Amino acid sequence: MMQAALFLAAHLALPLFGLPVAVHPSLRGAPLPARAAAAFAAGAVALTVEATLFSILGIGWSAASLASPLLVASLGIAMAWARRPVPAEARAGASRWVAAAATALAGLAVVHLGLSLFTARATSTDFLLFWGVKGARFAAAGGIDADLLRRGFSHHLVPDYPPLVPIVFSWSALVAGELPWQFAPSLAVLWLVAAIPLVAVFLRRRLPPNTATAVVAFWTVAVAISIVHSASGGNAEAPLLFFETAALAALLAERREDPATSRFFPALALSGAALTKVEGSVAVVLILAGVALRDILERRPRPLVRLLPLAAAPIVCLAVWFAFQATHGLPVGYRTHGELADVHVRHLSSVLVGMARHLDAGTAWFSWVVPLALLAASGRRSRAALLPALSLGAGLLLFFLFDYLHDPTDPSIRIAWTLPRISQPCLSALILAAGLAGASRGALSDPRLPLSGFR
Amino acid sequence: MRHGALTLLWLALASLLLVFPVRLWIRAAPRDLLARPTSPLDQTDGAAARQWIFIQKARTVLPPGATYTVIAPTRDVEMNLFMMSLGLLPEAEGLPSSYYGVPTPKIGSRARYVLAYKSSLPPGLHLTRAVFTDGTVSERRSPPR
Repeated sequence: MMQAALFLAAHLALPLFGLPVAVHPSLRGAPLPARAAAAFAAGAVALTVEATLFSILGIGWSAASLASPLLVASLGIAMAWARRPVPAEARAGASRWVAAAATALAGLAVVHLGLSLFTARATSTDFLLFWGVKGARFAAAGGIDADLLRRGFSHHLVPDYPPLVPIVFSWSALVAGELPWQFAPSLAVLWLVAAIPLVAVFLRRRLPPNTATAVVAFWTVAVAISIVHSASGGNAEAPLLFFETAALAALLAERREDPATSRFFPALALSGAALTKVEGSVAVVLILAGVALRDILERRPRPLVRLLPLAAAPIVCLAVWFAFQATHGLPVGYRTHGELADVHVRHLSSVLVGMARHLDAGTAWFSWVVPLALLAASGRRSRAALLPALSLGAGLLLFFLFDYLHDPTDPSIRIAWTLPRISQPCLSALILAAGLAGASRGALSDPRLPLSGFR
Repeated sequence: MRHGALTLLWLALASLLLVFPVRLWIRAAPRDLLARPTSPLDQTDGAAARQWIFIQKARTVLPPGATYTVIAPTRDVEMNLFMMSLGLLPEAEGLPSSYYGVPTPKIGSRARYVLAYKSSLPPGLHLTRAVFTDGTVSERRSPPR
């Protein structure tokens, strides 16, 4: 019990490592829960980069050695940034009954997820086979265990996978004394809860508060059900969903006249995605492509120059991981899934059928049909503004289709095993797009809504 | 569509979605509803849950730094057990008797301890250190090769 409490406390301490983000001018005007969630994201990314650098330099991990430099740096930067002036802002909330209804719905969904995780109804087997294994072993080794990753019989640990989830597990295991195997998967709920205020605050920049709040309620319910249905407790899906959704919501909400600093948080969230899973990097590319295309079509100023920081941050973070691989005799980069051109088109029909069957998201496809229908009903209105979300949603599905077609044998079983969980960012992006498609024409193309703007 | 109507629509659709988890919880037997799980996989994969519990019990027997191997009636189960054991036994060294279905007896035979899941070991060659519901932990009499 004490071990679980300490493990939870270590997760809840992550915002302390990312405090500067909570006072950054681009987010300081946001409500406290959103700023805390942004600091949580930043803390996880900062911890991952620091812990990887430690392993490159041969510095051993302990709770104190990992926490001390981060706390000092975090407090120092936060104090400096807090002095920067931030323009006052008007903030409008949802009406009382909409807020109450949305809170009740989202609350029930979170309870469903939390109880399912806690009663072992939603644990990912991969948590016991490699995500948790890496976390426990790295904590025991006091660093990223290159010997373990190099071994011939560690192929199943997917040694090339980026390190954020194992490092967050290791940090918490170091604080708790050991990885609490029964409890650790329950913390998937934290990533969902952290995403809610961020999605809400960004949607409110583009939608009237009542509509934004209602869309967030739907998003929360759909995603919570999907996480349970796909048994994503303890694997990297919930963190990946958090980072990709937060980055996407921030980029969908940004205004033409926003300063360059407004891309600070999305760049950080994209870095988190890239450090979480291999397909996180695919998502980064797709989101960036959507943002660039939107900016060009909407004739926003300097679209490619403004893209640079968004691309640079994840590249730098990945470079740290690849540097660890290079300095420890591991193959650098990600291993490929067969030859690029080795596509088995004969499986196309069974792949398409399998993919359609396993996109039900635990709601008999209802979670997908609703946003698709609302998107279709919105017509072609302001479609360019939604390109970052549409690019991620459709692009990832096409990427998975392409990947499945590389299997020499019929990949139906692999689709059943993987698609319900890896398709969750697509569902999330689709809901955000459908929510924003309901905004008035003026709201999306001339985004100066007299609502809860913050820079 | 006006924003008021849109708001209502999104809330109504979110309520409808909640029907699916409600059905799930109603279907769960009342006694199991909030039962404390005995493994992380109790409700998702019963077979893997039993394997996990076996390794969890075996960890109480293995001394730190020990070498071990895992044997099971099928190669799939053996692989599953080996993968789980690497996390549950971080201070011991796992030497697989098979890996992804490929037998590796020369490597497995170097292990001091044998975690036999639903399998029996040849008598006389091992000292049984612990017996659990689903298997035994034994130590080889002769030094590992």
